[in-house]
Amino acid sequence: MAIIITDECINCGACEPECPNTAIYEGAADWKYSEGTSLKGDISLLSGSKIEADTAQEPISDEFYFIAPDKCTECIGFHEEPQCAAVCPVDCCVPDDEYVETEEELLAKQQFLHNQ
Amino acid sequence: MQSFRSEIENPIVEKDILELERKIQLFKEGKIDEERFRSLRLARGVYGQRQFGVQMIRIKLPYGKVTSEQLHRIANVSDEYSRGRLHITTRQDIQIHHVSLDRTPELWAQLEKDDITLREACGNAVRNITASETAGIDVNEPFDVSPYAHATFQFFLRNTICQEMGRKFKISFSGTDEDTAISFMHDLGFIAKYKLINGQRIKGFKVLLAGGLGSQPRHADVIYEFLEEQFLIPTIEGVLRVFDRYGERNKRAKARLKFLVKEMGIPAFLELVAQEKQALAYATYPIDTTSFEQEITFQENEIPAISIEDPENFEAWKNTNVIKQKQVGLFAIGIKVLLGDFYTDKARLLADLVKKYAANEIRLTLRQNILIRHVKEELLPLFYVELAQLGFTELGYNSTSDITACPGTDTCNLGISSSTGIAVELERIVKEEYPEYINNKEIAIKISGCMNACGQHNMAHIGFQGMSIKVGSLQAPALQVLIGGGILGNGKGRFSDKLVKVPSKRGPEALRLLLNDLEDNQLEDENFLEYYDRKGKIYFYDLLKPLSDISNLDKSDFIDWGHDENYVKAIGIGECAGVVIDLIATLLFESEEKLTHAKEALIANQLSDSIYHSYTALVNTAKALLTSEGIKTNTQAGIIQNFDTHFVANNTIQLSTTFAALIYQIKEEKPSKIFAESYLADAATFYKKVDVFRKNVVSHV
Repeated sequence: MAIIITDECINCGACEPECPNTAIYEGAADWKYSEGTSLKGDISLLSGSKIEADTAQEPISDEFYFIAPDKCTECIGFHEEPQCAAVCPVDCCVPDDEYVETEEELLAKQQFLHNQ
Repeated sequence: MQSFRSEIENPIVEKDILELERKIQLFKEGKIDEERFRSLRLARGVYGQRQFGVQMIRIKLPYGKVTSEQLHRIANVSDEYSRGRLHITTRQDIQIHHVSLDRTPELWAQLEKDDITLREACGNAVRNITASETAGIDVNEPFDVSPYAHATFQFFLRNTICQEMGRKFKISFSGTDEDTAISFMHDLGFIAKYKLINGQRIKGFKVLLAGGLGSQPRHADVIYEFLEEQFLIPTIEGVLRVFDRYGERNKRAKARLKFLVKEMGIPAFLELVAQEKQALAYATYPIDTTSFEQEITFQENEIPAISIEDPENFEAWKNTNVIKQKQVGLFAIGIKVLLGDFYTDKARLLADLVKKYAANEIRLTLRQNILIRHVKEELLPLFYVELAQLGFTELGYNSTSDITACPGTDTCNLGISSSTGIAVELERIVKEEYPEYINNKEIAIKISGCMNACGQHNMAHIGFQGMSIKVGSLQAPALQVLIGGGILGNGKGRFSDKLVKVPSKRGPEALRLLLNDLEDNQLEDENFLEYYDRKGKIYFYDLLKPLSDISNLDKSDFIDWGHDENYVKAIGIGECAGVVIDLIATLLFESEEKLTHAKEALIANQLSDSIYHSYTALVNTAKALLTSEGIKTNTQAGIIQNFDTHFVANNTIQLSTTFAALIYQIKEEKPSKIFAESYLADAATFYKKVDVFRKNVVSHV
């Protein structure tokens, strides 16, 4: 599963620097697949959709910090537990029911993002 | 309410206070926008608090210096308008709470009688200038930084260039390489240095830029190993001008200087500062230090005969709380103030004591304590006895048992869980179970109620931060435990690692585990940080991890420290900045105001002020049009660029040059009268063009 930030977020920003995949962005910020990953140029996501890694993507939330699910590996490959959840002062980084993935899938995603 | 009007002697101060009074009135009548009013009151020390309908007042005390008369004044004000409690902050201010908004102008006028200001204590301004509390008495200092801190305070108070910045700005002065003012976490940090130039010892500073704590701490960069003292003020001015122009304004969480510098890098930032050189009010600004170099004088009083009834404790007190000064025969006395809170009855007696037997001055410290300076050796017994009667002789000044904590959920809107409650409990545990730490000046414990880190928890050896934890549908108060921070000296420091989150009631157990582990495993000659580094983060994570298990909580875990009812999470929005609502009409109206200010300053021959008002009028006017088209206006530099792209390049607004060339004359020209006049005329013409354009657009809609 990817992690999602709920509307209990107090916009403190503690999670943002902890993410090993640069999947976390401030509300209303544009984001890119290429940021903090080794993705470049035209890419096919694991879901099959084709995308340009350097193209600015629309923010997922305008009000709160958000996680780009395609960049979230729940810290698999980096840490024992999701770091955003570990540092969130109000416990609002929780598993996203819309993006349920197995550990293998997450590991594959981690390798895809970081070209290993 | 009228009574204070005639009593204020300084016309500038009087104008300030009357303006606050008028704006409060307009606000109550619903005639000014709430957000605008908020940013005005914040810049005058009037802050919101957790309790509805009352205000916290932050009294700005540059480098924590307070005389006996000032302490009496503050005590009187607290009794009259607040509740008799004085809270010392980690930035050497005093805060009082539960003040009625209506009475704030009157309160301010009272304080001004003893030269105390509220101006720019909160808000997006240059905040209180802090300094090592031992400045002027430290045996190791090259020179006293107090006059420099004082000159900085005076120069930038009400200064046109830093009245509406994107975010707050914090400046500190350390007297020695020990860096007790913590320069590495300030927007600008200065450490006193001498340098031999042509055989002469020249005073100056090591300069650090763009540090900060908060949820994303950043270690400041050294920008000068040595900056001569005459360039101190011009350098700060240059940095503030660049911050004002390039700093983020819309995204509050990214608006501090540290984010700007992180984004553009130090060389590019310094290049921009260099470009401001022409515009500075002064190319050099020597600082007169003579008023700080007068002979220390004492009242002549008969010294009463004293008998010490607990000589052992007296010796222990001298050991932990008394500091030898660089002035021969004089000592400073540290008073350990639990949570930084003391009360007006004691404050008055203390004020009398220092006036009668010391040199009439105390300093409030960054660790929320009080330092009495200039006590003669032979008077130490007298002070011991007198202070003991006030409860001011607790051992362990600046030790491990001297825990720093912000007010947290007691009064602050932002607090997540109790910081003061756990601080009291941890102090008790250190004193009762680990008394050897009362004499330990190495390990510091600091606590903040939230990630904003007013309690500086993320630069301490051991830190705790308020959090909440979900347990099914319930919420329990929690603490993040952090380890491994500290001041390394000479501008270097460490931020701590975030280890685990534990239910608040297990905070004491976390401390016990740590201190026990330290006792068992620390090598001789190994300091705390060396020990932490040798064992590594994971070791301590594993040590504390069992405490984070929430499957076995009991009822008491849902009740926070210092409370007797179940914890309720209640977090408000910070208001240091106040969101700015950009109504086009309001923006244009403000441009008119700025033009008026520019005219007034020109008449008063305050040339660089006038020029800066014209500059902000130009920016503001451009912003109004960009806003009407929904174009981004995050920074002043961005506004200037976008205005050329969207209005000038396509001749929508016709100018004889680009807008950038027009407005950036400010960087090219020295602040002369001729330039101030022509720049103001340019700003007025530009405003007229935009106003006409806007009226046309509106009438055609």
